[in-house]
Amino acid sequence: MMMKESAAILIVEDELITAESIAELLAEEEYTIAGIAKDAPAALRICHQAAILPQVVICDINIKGEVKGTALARQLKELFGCEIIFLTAYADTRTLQAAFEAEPVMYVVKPYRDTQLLVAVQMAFHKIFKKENLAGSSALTLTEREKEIAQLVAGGFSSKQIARKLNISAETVKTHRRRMLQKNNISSFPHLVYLMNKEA
Amino acid sequence: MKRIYLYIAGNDASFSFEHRVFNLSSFIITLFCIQGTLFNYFLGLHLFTVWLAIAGTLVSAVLFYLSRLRKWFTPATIFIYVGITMLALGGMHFFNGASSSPVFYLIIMLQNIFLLIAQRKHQLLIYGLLAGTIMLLLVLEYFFPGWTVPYASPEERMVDHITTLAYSPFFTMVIIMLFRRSYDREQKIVLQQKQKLEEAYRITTEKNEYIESLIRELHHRVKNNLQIVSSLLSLQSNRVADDKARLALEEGKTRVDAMAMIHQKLYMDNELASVNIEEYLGHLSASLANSFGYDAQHVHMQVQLSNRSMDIDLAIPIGLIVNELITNAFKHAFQGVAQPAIKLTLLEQPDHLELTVADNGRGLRLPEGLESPGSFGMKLVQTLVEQVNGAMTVRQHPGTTYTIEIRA
Repeated sequence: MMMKESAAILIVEDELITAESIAELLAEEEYTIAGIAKDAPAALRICHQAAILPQVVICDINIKGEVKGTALARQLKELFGCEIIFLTAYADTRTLQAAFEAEPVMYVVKPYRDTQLLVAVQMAFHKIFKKENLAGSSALTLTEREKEIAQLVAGGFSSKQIARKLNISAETVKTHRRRMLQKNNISSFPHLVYLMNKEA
Repeated sequence: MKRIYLYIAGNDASFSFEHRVFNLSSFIITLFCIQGTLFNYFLGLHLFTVWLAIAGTLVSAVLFYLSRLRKWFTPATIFIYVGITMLALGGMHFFNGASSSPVFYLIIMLQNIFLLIAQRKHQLLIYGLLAGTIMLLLVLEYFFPGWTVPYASPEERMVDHITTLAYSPFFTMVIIMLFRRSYDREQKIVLQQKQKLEEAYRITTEKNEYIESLIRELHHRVKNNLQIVSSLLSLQSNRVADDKARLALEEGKTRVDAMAMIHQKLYMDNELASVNIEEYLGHLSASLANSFGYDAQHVHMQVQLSNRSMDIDLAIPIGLIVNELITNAFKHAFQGVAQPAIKLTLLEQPDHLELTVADNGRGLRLPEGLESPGSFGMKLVQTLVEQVNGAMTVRQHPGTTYTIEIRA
């Protein structure tokens, strides 16, 4: 199994409570959290030492220290080929212009909604898989129920939200999700979503 | 010198520049007339010229008195002066050998002075009067040669010419120099004021930018803090085992999120105190639908307002009311409903706003639902309706429709 397929995410955010809740939301959706950094040096250190290199970075712009989020994002993209999602309270023209130079996948304004963030992460992975032109070994085998769940995941719904909609428990949703990966021999759910979109 | 000038002409605080020049001119002409009176008398010129000079002295003195001490300076003052000058100098002309006298120089000098101090709309008239006088005198001299009284001797003629030609270029120079000085001084003042204004403008602009950046900073702080509150509630709800407690925390989070979304919209719209209510309600209802696992299409929204930009003081309570009613519908109304739909409308009526939230669900349920008077959500809605001076009615048909008239 390729290392890259474990869907690892780095969170750069100096408000650690916010960072922690992002981490929990993503972990709940079975993403791997490569780490939480509250400034640029910490982010670079995590990337250099990481066993699993983060592919996607959720990056605050106004972080503490010399190097701001926009500069850090450009650096991470250059050094490690990470895809960037900016998550910031700033939405003025000057900040936006600086941010777009780093060519982020998405620019999410705080206070964010879970769905916004999950969609952004989905899109980031989609971009990565597209660049690598990952192909599945064979056509996906999914039941109708599994397809329904996978589509909801693709739409940025969390397992909890899906459970509420389908009137089943969150654990059941997660079991479905794991089985889908196992059955098709895929290591991460974003990859499955990517292949599903490609088939459709 | 300056003190004498100030004494004669008056200070610039109480006299306009033109007024001061008139004071000075009438004073100096008075002196000139006195001198003329004495000269004419002792040189033994025609007695009529002595009387003319005395009349000139008196008129000048009276006008100086009126202008300097009574502050009477109007276009009439100038025209009276012009008229009397024409008569006096006209008479003088014929008694001093007509065109061989230097009276024309005096007329030209006076023309220059009056042109400088008269209002612009009167300048052409003054020119016409004085230049016309010169022409008239020449014509009269030609047709009535008998009127001319020649000088008694070449010496007499010389003295008259020397006095007048020493006097009139000098006085013309003095007046023009004074004018030039005043012009330069005013230019300088204008320049200084312009610089001061530019400086003041720069400072104001900087201050405005600073204030604006403070407001933006404040908004960032508010957004960040709301984000933290929301994160705290979700971190805590992830750790609570008790279902009811967890639900309460999650509800708290959606309420905070509903408020937070306003601040997110505020800043993006670059309008600092109001929000596009249509956009806001759209995002809010989509977000609520998502959080219950429904698609945004399940909420049909219709907003009819003449102005969509709404003050946050009204937008926040409306947002929170909509949050409660839509949450309630998703939570309780749709079990077993094939095509769940919520209709959210905000309409402008002649004297109030009408907010409705209608679902096609199963109708009122007790005691768990929001409708039970004891529930927190219902209490919240009632409080907020009161805050916006509203009145709420509930209808069953068989779904539930909440209509709120807002008269805030």
